Amino acid sequence: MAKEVKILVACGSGVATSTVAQESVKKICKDAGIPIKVTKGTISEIPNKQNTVDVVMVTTNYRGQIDKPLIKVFGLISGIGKEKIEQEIIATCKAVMEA
Amino acid sequence: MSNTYLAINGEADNWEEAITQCGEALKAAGCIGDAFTPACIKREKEFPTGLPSDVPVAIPHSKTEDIFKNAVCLLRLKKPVKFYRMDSDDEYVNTRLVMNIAINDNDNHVDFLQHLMGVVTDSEKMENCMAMPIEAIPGYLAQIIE
Repeated sequence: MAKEVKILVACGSGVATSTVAQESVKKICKDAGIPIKVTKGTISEIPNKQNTVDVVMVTTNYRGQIDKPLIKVFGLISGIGKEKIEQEIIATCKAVMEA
Repeated sequence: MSNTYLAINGEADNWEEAITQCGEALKAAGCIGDAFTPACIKREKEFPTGLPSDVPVAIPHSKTEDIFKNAVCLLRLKKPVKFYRMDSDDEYVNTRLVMNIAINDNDNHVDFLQHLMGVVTDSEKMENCMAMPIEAIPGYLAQIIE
């Protein structure tokens, strides 16, 4: 079985936008045939939680340090540049699966 | 559980005042307690919520225990105020529409949140909110979000 890609989706409060982005990410990966496990969190949880995941996605700006691939997914909410973000998500997740 | 929709006209000099006015309306309707509005203001400072859509909107919100009823309060401002953008630290939007969102237990409201985000980024629907009588907005929001 293919490796499951662990994703953290984070936003400012862990309420609205990360919930919506999380659903979009699930759908994108499902359609692309990528098995994922998504957790949701806040931006301030990234330093601790990044070690438990393969990819971090944020709906807002993150300036802190990060060792994992970081994808800005604000466009999944606003619709601006959505296709490009979808491609980035798929490419990044596939790279994790093949690693 | 059904959601409460409120809409008010107002005037504010800045985003903090705008959030405070929404909070007063939400509190008067019994939807939130005292901790909600300060939490929204604190969050807005760290992680702003201005959306740079064709019709810009701000969606201040916060995760607190102090939400009694899930509610949305739309504040329609006479003059625009500046909200910093969710996706950028140094850019802002000037918006006349502020939608304060009080949602508890968000995992059970995925559909609601998805619809809500779809609505606030839909310029035609936001234009309608600018144009229609204020008392018609709660029913309109309920209809397009649910």
